[in-house]
Amino acid sequence: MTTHYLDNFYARLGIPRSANFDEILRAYRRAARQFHPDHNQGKTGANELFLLVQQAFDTLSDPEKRNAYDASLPEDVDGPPALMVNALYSRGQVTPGEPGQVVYVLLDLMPSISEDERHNAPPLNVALVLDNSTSMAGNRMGQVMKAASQFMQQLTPHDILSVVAFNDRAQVIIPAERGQDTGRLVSRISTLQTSGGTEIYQGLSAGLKEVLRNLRPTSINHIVLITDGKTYGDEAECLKLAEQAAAQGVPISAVGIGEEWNEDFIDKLVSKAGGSSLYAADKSTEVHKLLEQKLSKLSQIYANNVKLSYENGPLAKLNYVFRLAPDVGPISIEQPVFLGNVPLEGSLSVLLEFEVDCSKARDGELVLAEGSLSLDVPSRVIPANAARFRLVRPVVENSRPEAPPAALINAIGKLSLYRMQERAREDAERGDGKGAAKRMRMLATQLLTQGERSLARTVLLAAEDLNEGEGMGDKYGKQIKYGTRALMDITAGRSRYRGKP
Amino acid sequence: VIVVCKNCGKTQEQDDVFCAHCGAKLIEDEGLRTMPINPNVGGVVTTRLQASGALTNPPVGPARLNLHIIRSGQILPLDGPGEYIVGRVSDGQSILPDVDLEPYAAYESGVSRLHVRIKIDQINMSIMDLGSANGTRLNNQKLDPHHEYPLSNKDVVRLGRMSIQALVGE
Repeated sequence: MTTHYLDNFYARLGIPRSANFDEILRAYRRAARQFHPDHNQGKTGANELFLLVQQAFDTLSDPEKRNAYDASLPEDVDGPPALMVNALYSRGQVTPGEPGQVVYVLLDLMPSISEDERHNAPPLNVALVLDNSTSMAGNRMGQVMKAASQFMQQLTPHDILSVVAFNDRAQVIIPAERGQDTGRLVSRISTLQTSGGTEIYQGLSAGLKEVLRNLRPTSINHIVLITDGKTYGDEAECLKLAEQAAAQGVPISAVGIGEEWNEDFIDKLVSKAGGSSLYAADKSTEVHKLLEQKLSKLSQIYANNVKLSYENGPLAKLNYVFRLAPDVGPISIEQPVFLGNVPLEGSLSVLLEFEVDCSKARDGELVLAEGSLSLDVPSRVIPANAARFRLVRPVVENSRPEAPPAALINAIGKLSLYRMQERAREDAERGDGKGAAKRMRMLATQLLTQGERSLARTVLLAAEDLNEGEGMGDKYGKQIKYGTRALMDITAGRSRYRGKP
Repeated sequence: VIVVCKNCGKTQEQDDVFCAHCGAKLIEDEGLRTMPINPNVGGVVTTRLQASGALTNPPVGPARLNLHIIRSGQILPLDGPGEYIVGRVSDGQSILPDVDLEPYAAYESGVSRLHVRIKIDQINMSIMDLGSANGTRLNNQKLDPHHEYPLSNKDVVRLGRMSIQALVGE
């Protein structure tokens, strides 16, 4: 049977198996409203997901069909509490005898809650870890302070915000306490001075300490790191700390300002626990805007610490995981895989890539992966109850390959651009400048056909540098990495990449 | 089955959706398809508006598009916003293209009778290959038939072996 937790009709509607007709109808109406293509302009797979929900309702609303369906479902399979889970596959089936087939799965997780519950946001427990090294002086610091003070003014009495400033040492500017006087907080943060170098470990460990003082499953615990520089000699310690934070359910996100910080290291750091990284170009208002968005997104979280523990099927291998929403970015496939959070509005969408070797596959079914999915829902205090899942494709002899759903092709296409720049970076790191330049030129061609002119130009400039053996510059590297990433961001609308014309 | 990328000619290690080397699409998707309709399904029947007087908005395109035939230097102007089918006229053809390239040695260059459609609206221009025999390249990138691609000023379009540049003018 292919219908297990992550892809059964109850999960699609986000209801338990014991649901009665009224509950099914209510859940369907809610789901249909949320998935309706009119509300999801540009969302990856919106149409297809809408049809999946429709199909589930058609079966579950008809007692006869429902009985037949229930009989086909293993007893211990149930819908997850208050969450709609849908899966879209790039292939209807796999062909036996062929090695090296690639199957993409788009997982979509959405809250299944009423309108009232939507306003019932859990309290925040957030630490801002702020780089105040010398290079932050001036506009950078000014903008960070502006965003931080605005954020403080939006806090409710239940929220907790702590601020840690660090250079070579860390200093707690605002300790984690509830119900502080906002005016005093703002004045305290505005007296911050800049000096010294950047040692991220110092900042993170002080920030984590602040968050842990008030760690509760009912609040949204998060660390936001803001930095503009490379950290000195403590990268391994930082990563270890991120793992500890992850184990306690505290994700780390980062905003990198300007050109000097190390985006590969920061990505590794944030993906340890399902956080995200953002690149703020050194323009007058960009830092403020991005930071403000990041912070306001935190108060819009429904489920936190969504993670997968999995085992590859005997003939399959999970190669790559990428988050399309709410924050676009790669996800580390180290176990457990931290997918991030499910927002109150919209969904958590993740694209999984499996490589399948069917040379020994027989007729029947092929397991891509199985395991469990767990998450915390702070507003409901749902115990972190892992639910089983199993991703399966039927094996069909001589099947005519059918095209994946159009929306999925679109997402995979954008992802393939991102991976081209990744491969070019790998080439450049290995010292193969010519190879990297070639890849970059291919990438530019693809970007041009999609009308991404300014990004294509940046890519070509980088290709020139690479060809002359100069390596991937800090500036182009970030613009290209975050620019190709932004192509996949459907929430940003048209205003995604603004390079120099 | 060995998959070879049509764009860059590299043999793929995996049966993927996009070429790992150049990023071109490897699979053929359906593109535009005619769907059968069931005449027995009830519903609202919309009647078509009569063309007379329906076009009240005068076309106010951004500018004029000119097709510059690179080999001969000829410039073919298009009349503002609208859809144009570019191809060549031959004997006994029932549907005629809007832009006929036959005078510029189109047959010898492998241009199909109905080769591409260029669409110009208030803001954007797009190009779509109509399933031509020898294909279309936009800035050297092969186009999937029946898919719209954005077209911009100074783009070079290759129909078969004939190169045409899109020039936006007054």
